[in-house]
Amino acid sequence: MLTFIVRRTLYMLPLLLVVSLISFMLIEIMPGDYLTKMKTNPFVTQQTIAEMAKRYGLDQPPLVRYWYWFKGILTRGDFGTSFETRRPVFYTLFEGGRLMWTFIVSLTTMFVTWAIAIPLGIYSATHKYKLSDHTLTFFGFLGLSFPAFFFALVLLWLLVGVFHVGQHGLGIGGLFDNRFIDAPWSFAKLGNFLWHIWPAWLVIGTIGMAGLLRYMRASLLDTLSLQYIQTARAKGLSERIVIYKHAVRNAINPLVSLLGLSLPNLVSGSLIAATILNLPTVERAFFSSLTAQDDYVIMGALLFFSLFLLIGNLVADILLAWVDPRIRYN
Amino acid sequence: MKRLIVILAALTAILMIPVAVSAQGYDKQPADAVIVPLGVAGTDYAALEPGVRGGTVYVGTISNPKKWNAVTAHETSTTQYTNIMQPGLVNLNPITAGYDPELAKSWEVSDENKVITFKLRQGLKWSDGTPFTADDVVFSFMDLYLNEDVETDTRDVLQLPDGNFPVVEKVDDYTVKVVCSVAFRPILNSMTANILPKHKLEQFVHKLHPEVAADAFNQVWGLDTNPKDLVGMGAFMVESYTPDLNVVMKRNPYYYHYDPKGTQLPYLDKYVVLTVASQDVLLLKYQNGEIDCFAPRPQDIPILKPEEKQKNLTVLVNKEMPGFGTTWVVLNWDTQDTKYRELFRNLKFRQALAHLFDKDTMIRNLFNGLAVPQWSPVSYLSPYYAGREKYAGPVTEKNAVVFPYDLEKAAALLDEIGLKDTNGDGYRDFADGTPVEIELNTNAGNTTREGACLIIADDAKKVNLKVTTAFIDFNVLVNRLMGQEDYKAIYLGLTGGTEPHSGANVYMSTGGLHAWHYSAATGDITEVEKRVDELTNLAAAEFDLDKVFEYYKEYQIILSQDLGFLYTINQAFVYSYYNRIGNAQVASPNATPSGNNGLTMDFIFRKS
Amino acid sequence: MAKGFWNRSRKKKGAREVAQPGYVSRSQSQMIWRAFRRHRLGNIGMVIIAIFALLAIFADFFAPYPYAQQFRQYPFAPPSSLHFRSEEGTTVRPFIYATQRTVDPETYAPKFTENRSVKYYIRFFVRGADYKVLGLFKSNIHLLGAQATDGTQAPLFLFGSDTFGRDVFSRTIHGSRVSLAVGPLVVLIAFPIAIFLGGVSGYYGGGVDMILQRIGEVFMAIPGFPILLAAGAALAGLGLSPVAVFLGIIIALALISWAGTARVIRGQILAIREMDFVNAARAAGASDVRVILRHIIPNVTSFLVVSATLTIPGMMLTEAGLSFLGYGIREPMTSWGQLLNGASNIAGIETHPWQLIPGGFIVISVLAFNFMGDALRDAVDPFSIT
Repeated sequence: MLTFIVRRTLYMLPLLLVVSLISFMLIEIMPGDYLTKMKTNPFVTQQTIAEMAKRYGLDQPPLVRYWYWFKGILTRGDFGTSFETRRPVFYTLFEGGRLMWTFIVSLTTMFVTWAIAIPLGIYSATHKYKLSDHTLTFFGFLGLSFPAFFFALVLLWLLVGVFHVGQHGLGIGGLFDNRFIDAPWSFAKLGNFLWHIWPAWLVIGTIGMAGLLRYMRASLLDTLSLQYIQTARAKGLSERIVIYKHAVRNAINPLVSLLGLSLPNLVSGSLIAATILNLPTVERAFFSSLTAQDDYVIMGALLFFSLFLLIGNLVADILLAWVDPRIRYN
Repeated sequence: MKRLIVILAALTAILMIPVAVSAQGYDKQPADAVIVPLGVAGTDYAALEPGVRGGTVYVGTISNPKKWNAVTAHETSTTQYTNIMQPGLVNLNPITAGYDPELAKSWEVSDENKVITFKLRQGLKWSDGTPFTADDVVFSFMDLYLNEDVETDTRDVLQLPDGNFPVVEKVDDYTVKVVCSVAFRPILNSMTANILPKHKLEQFVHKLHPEVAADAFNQVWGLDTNPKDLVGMGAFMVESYTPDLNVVMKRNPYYYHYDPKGTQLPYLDKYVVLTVASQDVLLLKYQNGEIDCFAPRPQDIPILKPEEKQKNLTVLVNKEMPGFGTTWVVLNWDTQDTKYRELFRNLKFRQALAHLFDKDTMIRNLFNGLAVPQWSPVSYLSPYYAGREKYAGPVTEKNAVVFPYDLEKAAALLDEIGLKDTNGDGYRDFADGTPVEIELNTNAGNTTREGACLIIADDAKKVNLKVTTAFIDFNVLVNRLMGQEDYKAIYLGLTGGTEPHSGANVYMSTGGLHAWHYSAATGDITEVEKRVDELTNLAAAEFDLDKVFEYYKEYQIILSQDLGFLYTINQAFVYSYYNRIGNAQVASPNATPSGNNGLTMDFIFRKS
Repeated sequence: MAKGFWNRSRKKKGAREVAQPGYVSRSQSQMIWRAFRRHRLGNIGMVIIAIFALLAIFADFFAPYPYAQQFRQYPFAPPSSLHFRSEEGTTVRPFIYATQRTVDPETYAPKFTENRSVKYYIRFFVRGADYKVLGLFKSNIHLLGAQATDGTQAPLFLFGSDTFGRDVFSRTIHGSRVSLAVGPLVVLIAFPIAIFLGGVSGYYGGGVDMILQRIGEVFMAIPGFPILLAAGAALAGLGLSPVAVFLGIIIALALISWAGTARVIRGQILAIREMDFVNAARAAGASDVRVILRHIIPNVTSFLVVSATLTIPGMMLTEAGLSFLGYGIREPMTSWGQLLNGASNIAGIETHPWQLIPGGFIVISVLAFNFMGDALRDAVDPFSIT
């Protein structure tokens, strides 16, 4: 197993290299560069812009710039400097707890999604083709069908325009109310965090909810049709024990790999929701670097997302082997 | 014994209080303090009232700061903080848009207008308690803004017409001299540049300390700097920053502005800027009471207006006061196709096009009625705006150059220059029969500009002129505008300010943004352009403001008649604030340079 | 229409069938069809998609106006209210009144007042703007229009109008072309690549498999949405026409989505390749191409159909998301995502909510595709107990 992990990890390097090349190519095709916006500022002369281009290396041909960037990584572990902040790329992406918040937001969302979808999936499977099964499926898919940006905005509007939460001293968007942002942690602050995070759970969570519910339903139905379940029933075990002790345990196994596969979504799947719900995530930093054409930050972010994708796949494989002893790598 | 210790401790504590207080600010009001005449009849501030100390005001913005360095910053997301932290020698009056003395107490122009001598305020201190002297001013100009190692765009506005830079010299601890090689009135505008603390920053300047790298200063005061290390003289200093959430600023105990009652300004203890990802969430947060004031979009006004009474807020709609900047259509006089080149250089064609602009519809449909037609290259708010009676006089618009929406007139002009439909496709053609087709570009995603283009194209169709629209990426558009790619027509806007000379880069024939006619720089110059160059130079060298006004009046009229830029409309200033905030009613675009959000942070306060 | 297709296939195969009383022999596709028909939600989904597809194909006819036509006096006009009753009595044929827009000087809120002097009746097959049916025949007949008895027309806004006074109903119908085309076009590009590369990889194995797998992994290591945004930004810069940008987005979507499908196909083919019937075919002298096309591909068809049906709604939502962030379809071209994005602001929700109607179309069609895909998945699974 260990050799498998080591081999897969080493194998990520060439993949990341190719991804970085593709990213760089895309950035090069993008029109203009970081300085283009300054050109329409009547107060700035073309000479100053040319000087800045030289300072930032933007006057060099693309391949040369790629090479310098690559060399910086190899020799100094330096992934480049942001044009905007003049700070290292990963500082700009992760500053001020952004990385931590990205994980907290997405892990809690994932937990909530699973905690709701799995029981509903079980319910759906045990009530197959009943009205309740259809209803669950319908609402699952309905959640999936709402474009996230629309859903998030309408949700916030409902809170403000219809429920007037402001009159109860509650804020919307972000992670905390104003008074808690810079306050030390307390139960009140935690409560306030929960108040701010549930719209994120709802908006991001509903996207994955329907899929997970359907997977769980299908997996449990498959398991229930197996012979050992019949045996268990024949032995006279109660239906509760048959389902929860025998069937569900085995039905959940294949879903474990989904857990790994959803890891990359944790860092790159909720840009739109994060933008409207005002969550401080790495993706938002990526998007603002994209609009500002802060080249090396874009590169750094794409590599980071890519790395997560690969790690997610690896974790999925490992988890699968872990829950299912029949699977062996090497 | 124990009791004695307690008493001693208590005594020490009591004795410490005044010490602690004096360490937190001035012992007494400095002699040269700025007294803001709030509520004093006969002054610009008569309509305001002295406030009460304490409290926090929350506002919102949509992007994070990029650094805390005022010199290297070139985006408002950063300067909205640095301008509060570090004032300049002079400042724009938020109410009249004239120049007020700020760190300077007064100034004097001498030696054929080539030397400006600034008397500095005495007894002022930086936010860390260090005294402020002429050395800080000389350092800021000579070692930062005018230092080739330092990356700054302020250097550009300091450049004199002859290519030289002014020299800033120390006369004594509280007097500095700005020496120019030629008389240059707009240099006063550049004296709004932020003054930075020498004692804090000197160590990072390669010129003064050769041991540090040449690029060192450009990295200083980044976002990872401990806010305690940031030093300034402004109303507020940054206390903390949480990316994507907020920037907290706390009052500077050494601020040198006082109200007439002798209360030190600012009134507020804290000023918090929430970072919000979109304008819509900003509106929601405002409706929800989380932020106290904000500048709504025109479309938000019908939502906020009905809530005025119930939520106790004020929506300030000043249709007479558009913001800074210009919006226009430009035709490329240097386009590759000679037929179009000739056409665009024909004043009658440009006039025909100007008569096609249905500005009323644009204002009604795109700005919900909250915009004004624009005709001049100079901002409405500028004291030099030609719509005024005299320098800084009331706006009468009697000099306005207006091309009213008139399809018949446009059609007649097009007929007159020989554009007729010869091939029967319903659209006008050149005299030789080639069809006329003009592609109008603007940046994709800007709904109001896209909308204006669609309206223009639709009207052109009514006079059988084929105008198509293509909405392209902003950067591609800029490349076209800069003359790096060919184009026919572009709809775009430029930022502006109160000083018309800031448009020199655009309107002078040699300007880097002389977008309609770059070939003017290489000798292909028109009579109008010659005169504009002349007037610009005359106005720059003249210190008699009434004469300057006359120069700029002619400048505006001939530029507008010549239609290099065909001006369209400009959004009116709208603002909204909860009535719990005092003195917010003077919010205006003028206040923007000294603190974003249209508010003047000095004297707003929270009513108890 | 669908029914006819299936019937035909039965007839063709029926030649080999031996009719026996009490016995009906059914082909696999018939069995799937029967199983599919049992899913009510799936059927509803299919009907909805068929209706939307018709609307999209004949959009010029169904929409009263071209998508770019502006009624400039009517920015943000609310949906026209259909009247049946007037002072003169009740009519069967609904009619509308022309409206006049005024702006409240206090609140800046626009107000539309009806001018009750002239009635404009809703008529079918009205003459309006010219268009070409399927790009071939010229026509100017539109399904609906509001016409007074003297022949003058008033703008009919079934779903209200947008900021330029363009009819939202017409734009919704025209927008369906882009929105409904995105998914199928992506599938049309991505699946052939996936089938070919996955097929070759799985069937031949060895070095070819090695290389193709590595290429696939690179594409799978690309973070989807972020790279799409970057690609959208890059595309925007090429100065292309809106149609070309649209096609570019489709190609980008296809490029990042083929690899996963190819991998599954490879896996399935690996399994099928070793099955007896394939060996038998090979032993009988069938060529590789024949084995792949006749014996292997039919066995993965059901997977492909299901996977395609489930890919399409995802692509529709992705397109909407891209439009929201400004890297999608460009004005004056339109799609449901772009229409909804134009309305996704507080003013849109609060003061002119009719602009959100296209959002309903997104939700309904995504739901429809999902239900259809879900039903198909159940139907093609031979082991499911129904």
